[in-house]
Amino acid sequence: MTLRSILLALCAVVLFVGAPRAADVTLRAGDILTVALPGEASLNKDFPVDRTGSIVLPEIGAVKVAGLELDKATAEIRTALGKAFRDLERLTVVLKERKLYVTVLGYVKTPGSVELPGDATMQQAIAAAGGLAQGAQLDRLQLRRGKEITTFDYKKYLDSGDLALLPALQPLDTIFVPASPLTGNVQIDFDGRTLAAAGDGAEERSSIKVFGEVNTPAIFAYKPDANVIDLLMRAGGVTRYAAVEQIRVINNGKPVVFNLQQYLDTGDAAFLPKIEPGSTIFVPKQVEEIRRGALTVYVMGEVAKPGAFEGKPGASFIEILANAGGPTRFADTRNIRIMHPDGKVDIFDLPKFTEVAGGRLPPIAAGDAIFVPEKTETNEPSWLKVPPNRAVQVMGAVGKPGRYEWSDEMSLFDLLAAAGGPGARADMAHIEILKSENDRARPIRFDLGSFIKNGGSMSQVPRISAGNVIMVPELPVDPADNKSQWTRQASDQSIYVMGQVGAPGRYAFNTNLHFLDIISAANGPTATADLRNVRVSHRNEPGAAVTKVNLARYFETGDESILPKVRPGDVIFVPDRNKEWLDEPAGDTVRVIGSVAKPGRYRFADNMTILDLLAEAGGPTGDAYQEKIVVVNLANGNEQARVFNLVGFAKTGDIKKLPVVRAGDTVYVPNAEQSEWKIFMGGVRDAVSILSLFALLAVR
Amino acid sequence: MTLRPAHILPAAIALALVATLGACGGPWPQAGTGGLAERSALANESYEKAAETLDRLTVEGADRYAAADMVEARLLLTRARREQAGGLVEAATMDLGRFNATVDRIELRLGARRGPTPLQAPASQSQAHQSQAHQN
Repeated sequence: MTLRSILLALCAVVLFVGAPRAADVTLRAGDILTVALPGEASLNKDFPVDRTGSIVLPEIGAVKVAGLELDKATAEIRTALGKAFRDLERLTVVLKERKLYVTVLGYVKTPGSVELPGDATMQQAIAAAGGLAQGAQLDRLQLRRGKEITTFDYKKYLDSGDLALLPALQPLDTIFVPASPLTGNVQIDFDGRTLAAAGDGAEERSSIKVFGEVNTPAIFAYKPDANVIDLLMRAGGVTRYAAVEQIRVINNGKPVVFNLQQYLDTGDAAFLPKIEPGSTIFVPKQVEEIRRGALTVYVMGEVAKPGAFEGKPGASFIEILANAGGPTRFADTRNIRIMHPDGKVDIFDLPKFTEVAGGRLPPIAAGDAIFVPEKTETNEPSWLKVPPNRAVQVMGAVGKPGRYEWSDEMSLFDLLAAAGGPGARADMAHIEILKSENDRARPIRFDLGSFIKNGGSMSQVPRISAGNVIMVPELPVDPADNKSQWTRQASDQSIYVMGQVGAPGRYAFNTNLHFLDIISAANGPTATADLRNVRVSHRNEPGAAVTKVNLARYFETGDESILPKVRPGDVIFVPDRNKEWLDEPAGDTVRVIGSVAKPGRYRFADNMTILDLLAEAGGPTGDAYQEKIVVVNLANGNEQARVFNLVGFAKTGDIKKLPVVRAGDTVYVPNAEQSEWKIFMGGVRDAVSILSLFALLAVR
Repeated sequence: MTLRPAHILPAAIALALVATLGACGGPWPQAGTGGLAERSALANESYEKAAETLDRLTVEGADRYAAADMVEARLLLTRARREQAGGLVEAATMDLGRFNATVDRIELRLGARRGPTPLQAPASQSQAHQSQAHQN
């Protein structure tokens, strides 16, 4: 065999292999036929089989060839061309190339018809359509061929590369890429990572729900070969709080406990529970294991690290409390409770132990529980939180009346300070403490005002105990304003002011107050008050005791000793200066009678003279016998009468001629008719009359 | 019986004299005095002492520290002096007694202000101290 013959043989083989064999090929849409007829220029070219399965020949038109084998198609073309051409013996029809016309729709970037090589795969078709769009549901792609719809798992192909998982394409197929249900019904741009983190479980029934102490709880698509470890890893793994021994896997409503720790320790796949479609995996939070031992002591409540502690024999209360981190700022350390296994409960006051020397720590034994309760809120305390045996009640005129927690090392002053202190109207002299013992209440009265003012031994301050009631009474308001207020006031705390004062009435009074306080409280004496004769009746003294107060002299001298000591219950009477004369004692006045302008009784001081008295009485009248004014001294045992020559005194100014006048004496100003001259002249007239009578008798 | 003029005239004159003289020497008491005796010179040693006492108390500040009692004491002394001068001796004595009681009260009040009087060391001890001082 020559070289030339070998090359010809190879060329024949190549031509035979490269061109589709005419005998077994059935034409379809997308095929390209070469129709050749030597000498006819309009036919020597390629003719594609269009989507209708026909080729379009010149001067002939469409000739349907799809579905025909090449030989039959050639005969069909020859027959058709025979209508326009005569010599068709050298006509040849060759299948030059095969192509696929498919349509890609759905979640691809450029959906529409694509032209592919004849042996193209599904992936090539999707790529020709621009690739998959975000949100495509990869495991549910559809291939539509006529009325037939085939669903296939494209993701599975992507995972494995197995082309057998993809259906073969045929011309005019339609590929539909559905949207994932996770995209919802609203078209939005979303982040693929976020979508992946939320899981890919598109169908609720078959998806696996993983939640609890995992980093990214989500719903994942079920995969038959995925185990619980795979799903936990897809959920980002467990958190540091996860109870890995207590993972729950629920299959068909039946929970199974999965001990991850045990699996990791052994690697035994038998510990892996089966995962079924729709399973639920829950990773619970780590819970402290209940510890119990012969030396265990439990510390609960408001401590930094509550829990069970393994103690050593002899461990003290403080050591155990310190191991628990100590009380928190919310702890009620005054009321720590130690609960013993036999049910007995002891209460321990930690601040008291620290403040009072010689205290004793409570013994702690194994099995005891120390409970540190939460202290009562200070903003809005609930009074129910403080039991009666630890509370005192403060009522009345304090800033914040209420129920207060009590501890015996505190004093009455601590309590009043906590209650906001006595108010402006508090009667500090009469604070009352009601002590309850054996179901009987006993009142104690304390003069806080006096104690604060004067001091004294602290033993005088009443000791307050839990359960006591402290009442701070309120001073009454102005008695002229509202009498219903001051009727609440006890009589033995009152003083009575009557007569010529601005506001007579009953006033609250205590031994710290004095005479001027109460006179001032009653708005002071009125303009007509008789200040020289104020009287104080001491009702609480044995017998009848009345003190006369010359208040005018007090104002004159400022001598405090004039002012009487008044006590609660006393009555102060300020008389009227214009009172009835019967009210004036006779020994305190001088009677001025006779020929004066205003006869009457006049008050007389020892530094006054008869001149003052006559002036007070309006002076002698015009018919007064001023040379013989009579003064009758009656007081102090001596009784005598003396005359005063007012005219003579006026002429001489001799003070030695002034007679003594004292309160209780009487001054009489006679009428001029009683003068000696008048009497003499009367006698003369009488004598003349007698003489005239006798003369007449003698003449007869 | 007939009256003769010689008999009538003397009888009429006698009657007229009786009627006229009836107005003379009436029932008026004697003139009073002493009504302002505190302005006159003291005539009694007791009152002189009493006035001196008041002066002393005034110097000691009684007008400030026992003002009301001082007013009372002055009034009582005035009254007593008037009564003494006016012949009311018993009353004057009684009021002088009241004056002295008031003075005692004033003295007490002043004494309370002054405080207790310092105790004097016995003369023998004082002398002993002095002799020791000389020896040293």
